[in-house]
Amino acid sequence: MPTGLNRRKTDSTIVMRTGVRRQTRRLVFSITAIVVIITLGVLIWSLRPIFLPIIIGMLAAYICAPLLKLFMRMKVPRAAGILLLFGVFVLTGIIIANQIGSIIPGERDRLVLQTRFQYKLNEKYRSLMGLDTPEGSGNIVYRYFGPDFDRFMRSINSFLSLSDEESALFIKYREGYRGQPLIEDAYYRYFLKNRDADISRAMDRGAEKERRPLAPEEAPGDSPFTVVMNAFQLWIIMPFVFLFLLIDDGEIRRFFVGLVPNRYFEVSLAVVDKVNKAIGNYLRGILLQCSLVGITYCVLLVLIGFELKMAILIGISAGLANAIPLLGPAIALGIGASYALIAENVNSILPFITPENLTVAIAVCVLLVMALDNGFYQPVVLGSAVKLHPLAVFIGIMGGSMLFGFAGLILAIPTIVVIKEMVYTLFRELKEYYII
Amino acid sequence: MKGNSDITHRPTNAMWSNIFSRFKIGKKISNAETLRLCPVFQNLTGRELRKVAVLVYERRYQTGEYLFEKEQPGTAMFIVKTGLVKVVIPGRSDEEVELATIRPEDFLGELALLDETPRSASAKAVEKTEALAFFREDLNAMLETNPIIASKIFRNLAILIGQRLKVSNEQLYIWSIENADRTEQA
Repeated sequence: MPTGLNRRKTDSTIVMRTGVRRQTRRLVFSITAIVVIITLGVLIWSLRPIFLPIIIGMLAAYICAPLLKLFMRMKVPRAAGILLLFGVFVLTGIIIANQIGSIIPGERDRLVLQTRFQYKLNEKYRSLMGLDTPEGSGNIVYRYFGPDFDRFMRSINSFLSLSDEESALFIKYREGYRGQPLIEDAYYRYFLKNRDADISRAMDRGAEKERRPLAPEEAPGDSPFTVVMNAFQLWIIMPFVFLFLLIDDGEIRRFFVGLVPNRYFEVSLAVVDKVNKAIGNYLRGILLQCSLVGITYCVLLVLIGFELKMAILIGISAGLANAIPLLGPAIALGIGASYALIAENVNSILPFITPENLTVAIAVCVLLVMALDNGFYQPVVLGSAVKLHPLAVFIGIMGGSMLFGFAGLILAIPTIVVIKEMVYTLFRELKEYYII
Repeated sequence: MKGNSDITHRPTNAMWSNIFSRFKIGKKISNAETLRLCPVFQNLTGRELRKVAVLVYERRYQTGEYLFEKEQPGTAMFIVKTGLVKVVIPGRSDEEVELATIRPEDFLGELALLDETPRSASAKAVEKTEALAFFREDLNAMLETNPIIASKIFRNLAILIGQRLKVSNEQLYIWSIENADRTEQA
């Protein structure tokens, strides 16, 4: 029979042991969390080249998950549904890669485009500044800001002008090279005029024309085969990420929820589920919205007389960039205006559209798409889904592109939305459960 | 209420124990077997039970730990696999009033499968307990992917709640008669 003193001693020992155990547990959890965060940070940083294929694979799996559910509801076995979606995904990837390959101009077309663009840009500049008149002294704007504009145009020209190797190639294509069609006389005239202008600019500066470095794909040692193989090695991950995430039947979620202490078990289930639904709705909404915007650009650009190939290219670029506020319209306007600059003739079904007013027509198209997007697509498709503060958007885009380049630029906004939704839901649920 | 005499804990040392565990007399009960004994999952075939078993979360509770607490929103139903759980509500003083004792293969918190209303009582493990948690949204998702299984579970839930309502009505009837008698006598 323990005495009162002994019992008190035993009680205090138990309390002390419990306290020590709790402290030890807290310490172990903290150290583990720090180690995990540092490891994850280092891993993400070192693996950033494969970041984009993994995230695109994950997003595609996320977006396709409801389709798999639909198949299962239609009595299609799960394995067959996964195989079907995987097949469609791979096929779509191949088709998109082929289409992008056919849309992106080849060597000959690139040289011609560059020459046309340089020539037309200088022509428009001369016309805008009143330099194409017989006096050639320029208008009032040129008299005030001429030297600054000239400096700006010189830098654009040094970027656009063909290097010696490129000029040699242009002449080869002009005379027939690699079985490609001959370059038209008009473009050859542009080439000659550009070259004369380049030489006179170089003489004005009293120096030789600056030579641009070779493009990365032309750099010695990187043959096209190596470039393709490098890209293939990176992007081969994407279909596997897609496949394994579709095969996963909640095991990943169960594993992470299994790590959660009992006190937070139900709240973690609620948070995971609500975040999952919100992000799924957002991603599916944004995909649909971007597709609608892209298709609208395509249709409108074809209507005002753009080549189908060019309209698709602008539609895809502007649709993709539409996930980032204001970037979609800016891209559409930028590429569209550049195209309008070099357009020789326009085959529009609208009779009043000519090469001269094509830029205005593009601006109208962009405004129309913006109005449709803000007034119809966004409210109907996205509803009251996550809204972001413009400052968060700006800092996110800048930070994302600085850290992860193009991938960071494209994925910054979805990542911020995911983090915002997670934090918001977590705190809301913690309050609901009286934990905070 | 069924006992847990046929249940043994997983041996601590892994490989050989796992390999020979099939030959042991008291082998570890699987989640599907636990579910089979729970009334909510009655009428489900073995295949259907295995489909449900991959959805449940296994949780282990120490003595004195709460499975859930009163007033918190419910998200999951719990099925006790081993151990003992008491359903309690806070009394007038600091002590808790015990409402029910939940033994292995019994379930609790089943109303959470229907909606998110707050729990009406707390559930506390009074010894080391293993429980299976079945999440409401997994059941809702099942309505789309496996509607037959989901409808069987909902039907069982409806029957169980209906039975409880009948018992409550009978108790209320008896109480009202007793109350009327007492009023007449007074």
